Amino acid sequence: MSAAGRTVRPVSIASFAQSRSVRRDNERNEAEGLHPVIAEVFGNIGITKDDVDFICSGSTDYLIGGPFSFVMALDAIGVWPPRSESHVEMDGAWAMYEAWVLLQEGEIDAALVYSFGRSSLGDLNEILTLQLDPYYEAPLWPDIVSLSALQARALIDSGKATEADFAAIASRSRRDALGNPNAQVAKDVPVEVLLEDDYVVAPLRRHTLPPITDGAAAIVLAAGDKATQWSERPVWITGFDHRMETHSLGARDLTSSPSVTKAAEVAGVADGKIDIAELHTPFAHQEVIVKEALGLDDSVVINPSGGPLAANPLMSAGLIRIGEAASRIRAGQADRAVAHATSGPCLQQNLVCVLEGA
Amino acid sequence: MAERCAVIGVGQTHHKAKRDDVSIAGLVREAAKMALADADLTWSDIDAVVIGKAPDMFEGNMMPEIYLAPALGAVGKPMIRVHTAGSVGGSTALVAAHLVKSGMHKRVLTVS
Repeated sequence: MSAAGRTVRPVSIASFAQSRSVRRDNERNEAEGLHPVIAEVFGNIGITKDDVDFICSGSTDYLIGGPFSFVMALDAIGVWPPRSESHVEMDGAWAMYEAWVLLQEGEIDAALVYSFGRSSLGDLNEILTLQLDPYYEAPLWPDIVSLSALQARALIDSGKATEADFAAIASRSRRDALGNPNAQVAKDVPVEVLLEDDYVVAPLRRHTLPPITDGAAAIVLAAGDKATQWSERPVWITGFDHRMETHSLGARDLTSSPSVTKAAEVAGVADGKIDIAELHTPFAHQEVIVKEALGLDDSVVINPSGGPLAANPLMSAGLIRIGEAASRIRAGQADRAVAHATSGPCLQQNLVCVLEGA
Repeated sequence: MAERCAVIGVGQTHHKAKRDDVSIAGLVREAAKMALADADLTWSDIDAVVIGKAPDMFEGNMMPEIYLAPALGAVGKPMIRVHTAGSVGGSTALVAAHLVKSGMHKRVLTVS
């Protein structure tokens, strides 16, 4: 078990829950959408909020359009008497990392992690432009689909992939999503039909883009006796790391991901056979880049849940990758899995989590 | 068993109503450089970066760690962005301290 080159305390994914991913949830606010997910993640293992020592969440104010949206979301749990709590303006996968670090210290044994995002409230493609350098890039309003198209074009020019490869990834993802009751886009459409789609921004056709999704997810982490008490077949986190790249797209080789490679090395991805990989690659072409950077061969089943091309709730899609991978190990469908989360334009920041069955 | 953790360098920019002479990246880098100098460290001595900021809407830049990463020497390193409303300054230092106390990292730069 390794992270940052050191032995880690065994921590298990004791429970996972997610909402159904939908294009637009107009019926419920953030706390109302999160509430049943929190109830389920505790209910799965018969515990309450009093059984966890720490709470950490991931969300972004730019979806709701107002400051401190995570505070209102706390109503889904009820933080009275006062709780030890933290929040990152990052995907829930990083909230899980913060909680996991606390569990490493050995002073607590259980934590609740959750994330939520209603991507439908504004124009997501424009909103994500506000992540860019506010002086030199954002004022030009390059939208996120166009930036991803530049990356896809660079990948084609490098000879590493073709538009048909992207269509094959989308076709497989949405076919696999037919087995996922929480997926948003699930259908069986062959590659040759997908390739008749119009371009949104060349070389990206509609099927290579992620859906816009409202959704939430939660995980309970456990260590020590609680890990074995709460799970008959604990799913252990055996490696966990994340790395950042520079922001300027012109300073990066967009066809590779040194941050994924570094995180995979620290997390020990290559220390054993990987059965399945759940990759947070919102654009089809990004799966080619992350798969190569992780060093995965063709025997690895990628995104059996359908992945982010079937449902991409912003701020939760990375945490859901970890939960989906853990669920398959718990079900006995895999022994060792890798989950990945990303943030920023064109895979700027990446997280890698290795999971193993007991 | 938790590792011991100490504050070994601090930096604080001079407070002013408007700093028209620097960008956001320039401002956080100024504080970071002062802290590194105080600790007698360089950028390459730092294992991870924790940045705190709340709310994003003050500057109109969504998840500013994405843009600020190179200015804080975070390229190739773990970077965490803490957001806990008005308590963010303190919470950010807590997250950084846990990265050291847990034994994950030796030297962590934290900026709020």
